[in-house]
This record gives sequence, structure tokens and C-alpha cells, in this order.
Amino acid sequence: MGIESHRRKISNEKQAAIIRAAQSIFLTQGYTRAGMADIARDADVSTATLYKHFSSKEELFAAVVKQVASGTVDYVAMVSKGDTARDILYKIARGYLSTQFDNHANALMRIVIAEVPGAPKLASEMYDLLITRRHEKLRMVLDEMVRNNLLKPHDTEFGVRIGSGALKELFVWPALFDASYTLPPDTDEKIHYCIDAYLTLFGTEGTD
Amino acid sequence: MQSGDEVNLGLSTYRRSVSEAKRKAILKAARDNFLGNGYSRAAMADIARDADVSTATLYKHFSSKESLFAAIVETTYSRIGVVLSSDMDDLTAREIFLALADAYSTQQIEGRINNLFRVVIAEVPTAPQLAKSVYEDGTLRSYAYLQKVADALVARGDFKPHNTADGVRHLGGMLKEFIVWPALFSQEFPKPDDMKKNLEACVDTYLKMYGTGMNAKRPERDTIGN
Repeated sequence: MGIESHRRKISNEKQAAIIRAAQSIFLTQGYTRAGMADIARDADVSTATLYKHFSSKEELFAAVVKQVASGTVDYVAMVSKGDTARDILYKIARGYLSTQFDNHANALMRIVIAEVPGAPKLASEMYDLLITRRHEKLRMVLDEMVRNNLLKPHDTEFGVRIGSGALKELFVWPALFDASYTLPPDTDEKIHYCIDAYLTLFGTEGTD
Repeated sequence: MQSGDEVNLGLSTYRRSVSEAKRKAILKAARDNFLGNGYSRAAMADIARDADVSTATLYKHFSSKESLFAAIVETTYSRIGVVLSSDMDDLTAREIFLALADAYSTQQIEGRINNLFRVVIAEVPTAPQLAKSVYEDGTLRSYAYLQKVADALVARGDFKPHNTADGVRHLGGMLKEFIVWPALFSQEFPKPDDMKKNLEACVDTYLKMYGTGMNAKRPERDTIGN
């Protein structure tokens, strides 16, 4: 039992080290040029161990993106009691941008988009992880806000796409075309301008 | 009888039209090469061959691969302005933006600008300047144009006075959400069946954000006079 759990712990640590090494190599070399042997070396494991964890480069890349997409931001947990609609929308917008900028989602998106012709399946999986599933999580927050009368009942599925579209437009789109792009100094102002628009559409009395 | 001047004029018109035809052929060949091979691997010599011109002619028209790529983007984008060549006065704000949204989706999908974007994004690490100029010539210029339209509608009373530069980005963000983002992640992105419905929802949302409601909807033409 003790040995079993020790082995599992070691295995989990190795897996985490592999994903860390892979992320850094993918980000610097791009997908095509990244070599499994280099990733194993940086993670300090044998290539046999690497392939035991991830049977292909594609699978490994998917694991990197999955970690970025899911491990970082829990939108529902961001909401505190007593938050106004504006507070909540601001927090989730910031959480969204944190995934994009602090956790390298912008760079990973660029890599995936570049690889569409060679690895189309990878790209559609990434779209699902980085966009569709994230929208589902954001929608849960909006639905909860509607239940709490912080927002008027509305088509929250479309609402998420308006909000996510606005954030991508202002902050992610420019980053796709410029690897050195960072969040601008007036980021908060821009976020609040988007929130203003959203509350104009769907806010309730006493929303702010 | 023709005077010498008229003959020369005819000849130079002829030359201009040949030159224009060659330019078109070059742009088409270049587009196919960029889409098929990516930017780095596309070669000027191949483009000249596919366009059936000499490389000298190619370089006379476009001094570099960068300028050739920029011309492709520019040619496609300039079509969108044509949409509103008819008098805006005859159209409601909703009709104007629906026409623009429709032209935008045609440009991005059938015009394959989404695919060209992918080519450019792939080259960000190797040709950062290209990506920057495409962003500036494509995205920023089309916003400047949309902003002019929005300003005209503020003046006309269809829109509340507002920061139209930020406002058009809200519209742009919504439209990209449906027209561009899904297409960036897939090789072929056929227009989905619900595209029209989604674009209408985007335009209606934009009008709700900034419209005065004054001209937002007018009776269907065929019900007038019934």
C-alpha cells in the first residue's frame, strides 16, 4: 500500500515535470520543431517514461493546453457574497485575461493556429478546450447572476459570446499578431466599458 | 483619321489594361501560393510562374514578398467599402450594419481572409513585421471605416453620442466571435446555417447598446400601404 502510493506520487511528479518542460519547449520552439527527446531531457526523465505518460506529441500538447485551460481559473469560485453585477463581471473578465496572458494561452493559441494544416484534430480540440468549454463555465456564472436578480433573464449563451468576443477583440486578437503584446495600461478602463455595455443590455435595477 | 496623340493614347490604355490583367493574375497566384505553402515557403519564382509572368514583371509590380502579401489583404479589404457605395440615406442603421456584417463574413470566409490570417499568425515568430502590418492594414483600417459609418449615424440621430471608436470594436468583437474565431482553428470553415441569425443578433445587440431606437426598425416594405 505504502509503496503503491509512493509510486503513484513519483509518477504524478514526473507527469507534472513533463508537462512543465513540454510547455516551455512548445512555447519557445513551436509545435513542429519541439522534440520529444528534448522534452524528456528537460523533464529529467527517460524517453520511455515520457512515452509511458504521453503516447504522442499531440497528446502531450493537448495535456499542456488542458492544464492551461482548466487548472487555473474557477470562475464560479471567484464570486463572493455581496458582489455587485459589476464586481462579478470584472472578476471573471480579469480571470479570463489571466489565463490568456499569465498562463500563456495567447501563445498556445498562436501555435495551434499555425499547426491547423498539419494537425487539424489538435486545433479543433483546442478550440473546444480554450473556447467552447470555457464559455460553458462562464455561462454558469451568468445563469447564477440571473437567478440572483443581478442580471435580467436573457440568452446567456449568446451573452457569453458577446462578452468573450469583446475581451478577445480588445486583448487577445492583437496578441495573436504580436508575440510581444502585453495588456495595455488602460485595460481596466476597457473592461469597464465592456461591462457598461453589458449592463445596458441586461442589467437590473441596483445592478451597480 | 487618327492623330498621333490618339494612337498613343489608345496604346497606353491598352498597355494599362494588360498591366492591370497581369497584376490581377499575380495577386491570384500569390494568394494560392500563400494559402497552399504558407508565407515562408511561398517563393516569388513560383508565383511568377503560376501567374504566367516573368519574375522581372512580378518585381515591377511588387518589390517584395511583404508588399505582395499586403496587397492581397488590401485588395480584399477594399471591397467592403464598396458595399456602402449606394447612398446610406436610403438605409436604416440596421440595414447598413447587416449589409456590412454580411460583406465581412463573405470576405472572411469565401474570400479566405480567415485562412490568410492563419498564414500570418503562423509567421509571427519568423516575420513579426508582416503580422503587424496585416493587423494595422486589416483590423485597424476596417475599424476606422466602421467608425466613420457610426459617426455619420450619430449625426443622423440613429445613434446616441458615444465613443464610436470603442463602440465599433464591440460590434467587431461580436462578429469575429462567429465569423473569425471558429475559422482560425479549422482548415475549412463553411458558413454555418445559423450564421445569418447570429449576425442579426450581433447587429441588434449593437443597436441596443448605442442606438436611439429612432430608425432602428421600420415597417417591412411589403406591409406599407396594406
